[in-house]
Amino acid sequence: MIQSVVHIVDDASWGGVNRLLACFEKAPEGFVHDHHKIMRIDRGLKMSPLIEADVIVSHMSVCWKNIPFFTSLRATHPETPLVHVEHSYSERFAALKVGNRARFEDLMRLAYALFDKVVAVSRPQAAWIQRRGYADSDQLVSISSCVSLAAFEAVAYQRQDGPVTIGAIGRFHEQKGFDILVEAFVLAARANARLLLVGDGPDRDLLVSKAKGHPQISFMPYTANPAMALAMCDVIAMPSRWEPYGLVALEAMAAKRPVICSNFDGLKQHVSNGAVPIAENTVAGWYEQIAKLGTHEAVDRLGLGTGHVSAEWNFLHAWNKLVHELTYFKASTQKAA
Amino acid sequence: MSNPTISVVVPAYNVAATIHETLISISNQTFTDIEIIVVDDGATDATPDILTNYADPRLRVIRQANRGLAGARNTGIFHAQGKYIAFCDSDDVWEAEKLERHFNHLEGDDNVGISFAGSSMIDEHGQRLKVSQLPKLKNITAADVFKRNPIGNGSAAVVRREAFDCIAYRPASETERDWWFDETMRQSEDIDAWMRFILASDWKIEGIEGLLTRYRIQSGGLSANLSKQYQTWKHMCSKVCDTAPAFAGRHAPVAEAYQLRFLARRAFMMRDGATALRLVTASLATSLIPLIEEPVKTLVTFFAAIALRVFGHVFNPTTKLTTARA
Repeated sequence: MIQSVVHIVDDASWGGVNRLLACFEKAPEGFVHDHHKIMRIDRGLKMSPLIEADVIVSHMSVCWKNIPFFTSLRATHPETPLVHVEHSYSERFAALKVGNRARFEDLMRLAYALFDKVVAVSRPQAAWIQRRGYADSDQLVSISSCVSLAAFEAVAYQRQDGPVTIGAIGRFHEQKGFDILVEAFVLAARANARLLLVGDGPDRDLLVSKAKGHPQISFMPYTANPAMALAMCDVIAMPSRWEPYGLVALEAMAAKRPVICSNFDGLKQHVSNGAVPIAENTVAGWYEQIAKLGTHEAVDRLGLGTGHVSAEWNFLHAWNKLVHELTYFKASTQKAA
Repeated sequence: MSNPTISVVVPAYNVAATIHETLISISNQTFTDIEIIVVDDGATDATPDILTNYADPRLRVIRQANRGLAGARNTGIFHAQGKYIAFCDSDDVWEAEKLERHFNHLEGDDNVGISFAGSSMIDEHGQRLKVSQLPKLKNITAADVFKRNPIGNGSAAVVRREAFDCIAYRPASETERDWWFDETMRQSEDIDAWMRFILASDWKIEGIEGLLTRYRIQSGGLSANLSKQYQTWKHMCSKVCDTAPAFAGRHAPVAEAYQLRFLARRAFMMRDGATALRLVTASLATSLIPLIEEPVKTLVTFFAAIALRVFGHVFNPTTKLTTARA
């Protein structure tokens, strides 16, 4: 039976989750069993609207401000299975950014207790949630995030000659650690490499000032076509300070670009799929790596990851299964009643 | 044979004078399910003979060309099979119940990744000094580690292997095994590892009551080394800045002031009044927070440095002011 699944999203996660859900729309016929649609929630809304759905999936971030909303969502939909997808938090985030750990733990347990299932977006994140006891083991599901990869696979063989282009794609924010990369690149001063930063965000000025007008560092705003940005790069660098999953790594693998990344949180999963881990995610660590990337041959030697293989299918299959599990039980109890 | 519960890692480089006493204190632990891994880091004195003649079936000796303290510890960790790893430097001595106490602590709370305790201090002859390291024990934050390093010395910590592996990495130049401690550092390698640990994971660092290590203060030493020690501390600090820029922005000046005060106290012990005064002045110039957080200790350091500078020729400092480590 086709179930209707409503994904609720607030402004903060709108863009990213939209791309995630496009995966359902673009899937070949038969791959998606249910009807998924997206619903935008105004930020700071305290009361949940009544939502007609067989399953409701929240992509909103867990924070104290959203607790009234989550509570009313639960209260107004007592029979509807509720799922929360954890896009925000990871172990490194907790280590680096959480001042009051006890309060954070209370928040996580309280919020997760309102949902029937909690979806971790990567295996390392799932292991962390389980170890900390934020969700029970039968409540926790690990579904690695995915986007439609066809556009990335299409640029797999587009190559350019000339200098090696090291690409860094994402939000210009402390999380992504591009400041480390820029500093290391300036230090390494390789004549035959260039650094391309694609994105925008609060750290833009910081990055521009660290780049010191270096002729081999260029900036490019977000594009509606991220595959095109990837096509301009020979290797993708991800010096993230924390990362629940790290979709760019998956996209780069689909586009057959080697990935170099820090080795924690969700990025560990990409390393297990063939991304090259940086020893220490510091200026010195990246300097050492960039100094070796003088030629296209050196880039080729990094090797290609395989994380994209069946990623879409696994993602869709896992969601089909989850929705089925949540609604099958409900349907059978209703029948019994 | 099943794996031991605790692996004790003892780095040993030219420690013939002290290692026997260290090993006896490990062999005599009330917690007995242990392996003792001594890493002979290319010793050129009688250390290898002492190890050969030491009779404890739980002892394993691994020999390597000299890699330094961090490199010896890393080799020990690499070979360790225990669920927990305890570190003991080969000039320090443990109280008999140390491992038992840490075992109970770690088994009792699965969120604790590093368990530590305070230390008493001994001089080079093993005589107890009057001061101790009595650090903060609970609710240890990254700022606490950065500023005051509550773990204190290299023989205080017992770590959970599963947790400690979160800081393992493999530099491009390394072909044999991972690094946990940074082998490019010859000092500050402890605090560097603890900082990476607390900024990488949400395992707890927590202390238990008691002075469970006797930490040996080597007198002598050269003031020139203090400057080197300061440089390695700055290097550690730059890594913290890369990892956590906002955190470092808030805490680095204060942590630096504490480090300078610590070095001032070291200079004082070396009876170098000029250096002590210069360092304590630099500390106060960097941040006044230590004066607010720990006024007595900061002022004592300041006036002791002045006294030594002015009356240095008649004033003979005893080890009374031996410092708790910054």
